[in-house]
Amino acid sequence: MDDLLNEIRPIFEEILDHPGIQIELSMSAADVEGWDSLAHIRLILRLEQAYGVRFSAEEVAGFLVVRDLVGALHQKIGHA
Amino acid sequence: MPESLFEQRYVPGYRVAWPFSVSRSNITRFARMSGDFNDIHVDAQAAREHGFSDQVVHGVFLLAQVSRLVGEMLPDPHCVMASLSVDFHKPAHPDEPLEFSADIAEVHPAVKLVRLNYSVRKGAELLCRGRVEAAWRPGP
Repeated sequence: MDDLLNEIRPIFEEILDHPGIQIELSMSAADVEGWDSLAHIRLILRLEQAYGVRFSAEEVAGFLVVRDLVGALHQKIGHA
Repeated sequence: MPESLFEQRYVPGYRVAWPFSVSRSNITRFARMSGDFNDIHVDAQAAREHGFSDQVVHGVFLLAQVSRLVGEMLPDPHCVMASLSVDFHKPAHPDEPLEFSADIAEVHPAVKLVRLNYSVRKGAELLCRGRVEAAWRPGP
């Protein structure tokens, strides 16, 4: 999952407008400056667009920490 | 699983349209408010010298209707504007009868966001068009 997190790190940097931002699997949105509700929407839509996947409302509601989001994406794309 | 309230209310194809116009006095007020006194906006003679038929309405007057769309004209009053894009095609002039229209192009239930396409026309003539994203934020 670390590989996938590194792969999507540029998307976090773009959406949160913060090059070099520190994102760890254990972090929640509250731990990251600028990760508000609109940024969250943008992040989800950007990941959906980048990987050609769709998350359900239930999945999104369950994204409490970065690991949940990366894990769901990992499952959908079958990332190595 | 039953559709959420958001999905029941926000469906692709939902369309709204209304007429509006921009008065000279509002152009003057906006010039004072924004500091944009460019003479094509505030001086009809100068605008004609630049090849326009009359004063040119500040473009953001057309975008003001997008604010009305998101704040007042969607299926419920629970949306906030999340992003806005626009392409301007032709100028608008004071007191011309204009029409704003918009339709829901995409609904994203997972993040409760809708994308709408909008346009402003004078008769059949396209003045501007663009896309707006509205995020659904019902109160507690």
